[in-house]
Amino acid sequence: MVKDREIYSLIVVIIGNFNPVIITPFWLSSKGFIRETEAETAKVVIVHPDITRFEIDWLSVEVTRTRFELKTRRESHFSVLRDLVVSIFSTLKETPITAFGINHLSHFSLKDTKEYANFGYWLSPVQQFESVLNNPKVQSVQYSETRTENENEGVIRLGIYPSDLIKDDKSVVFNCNHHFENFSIKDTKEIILILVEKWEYSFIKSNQLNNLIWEKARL
Amino acid sequence: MGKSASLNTIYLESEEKYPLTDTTQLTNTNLDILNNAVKRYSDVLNAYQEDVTYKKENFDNGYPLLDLPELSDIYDSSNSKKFSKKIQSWKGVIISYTNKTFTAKLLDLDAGGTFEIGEFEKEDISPDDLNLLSEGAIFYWSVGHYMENGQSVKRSDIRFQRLITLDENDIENTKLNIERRYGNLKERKIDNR
Repeated sequence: MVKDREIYSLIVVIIGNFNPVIITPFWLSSKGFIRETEAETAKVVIVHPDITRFEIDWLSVEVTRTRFELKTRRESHFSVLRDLVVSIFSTLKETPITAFGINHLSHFSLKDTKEYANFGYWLSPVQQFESVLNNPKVQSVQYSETRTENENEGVIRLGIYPSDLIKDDKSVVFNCNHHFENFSIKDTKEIILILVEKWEYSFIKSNQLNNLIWEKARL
Repeated sequence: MGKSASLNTIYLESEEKYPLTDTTQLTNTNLDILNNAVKRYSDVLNAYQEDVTYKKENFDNGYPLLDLPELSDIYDSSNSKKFSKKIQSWKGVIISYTNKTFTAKLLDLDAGGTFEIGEFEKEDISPDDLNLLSEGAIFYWSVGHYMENGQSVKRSDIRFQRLITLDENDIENTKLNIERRYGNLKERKIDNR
């Protein structure tokens, strides 16, 4: 039976060459990408030539020289996050981008700890190790699909772990990482357009995968 | 020589004072490692001001390196207890507005379907977004439950779209692309007649 998601977080990761020191809350606000008040109340952890980290109410940002990560735990702000990515890279259009990923983190709660354990056994039959290990349990599993010839379809990697947000010992998080790379085009704006085009598709794929798991698991 | 030796001592003392070794301690509540990295960097930077020959391997293009561990799991520490639950979202396009209210065409982002028309009070708009209110402006409206530091809160959010507009180069490039892709199509159509 398909389960309802409890919490949905989203992380967008862009891989390329970046200048972390320019990405600050005030820069985002001066360009009109976020509210002025959000910039004023941002919690800046660090701004440095190697790394920038800050948080506003709905968003966490981390930029290093090679990785640009934007994360929100507000499902209501997913479209806002996409607009922010488009706006940033439409402005920084000379920034070389080599890959991007849309990470869907879906948190689900199982009925009880027994169902939780059964789900773990379904994911990986660890009982097979009982002769050597005492009461073995599944901590996490990772799956990945084989790359297709179509570069624009992306590749999905799925990780399943205990939920870090619902700490009731019976909740899991599915991390569906939809990764896109090896673009034949080099233009930053065009790569960002691929992100926009694939945005809905990525959500559909992630939801299909989540539903399929719960259907197949038959808990 | 003597100066470099004393700077090396500072580095080693700082390393001892602010250890970075045990990254397995990284949790949502443990920010010490990050703080230590920054403090250590600050020590090294102060030492660097005095002698540029000091510990070359810690330099990047002649400047001391900030040696940070992987902390991606914890950097959003203050937002870690804030998340939304059971949200319903709409995308709205402003049709008209008065001094007190605005009317919009709404598309349900979860269920899709046909447009609905809704009227809202201008007071529902964040003061920072008021200058974005215009006919045709797009906004996101969401209603749902949010968790904030363990407290469930019911909330309605209106947030105007802040998407960068096309610049002159983009418009020119788009025109060129259209011409390049569809220029022939026009000629063929005329030929067929």
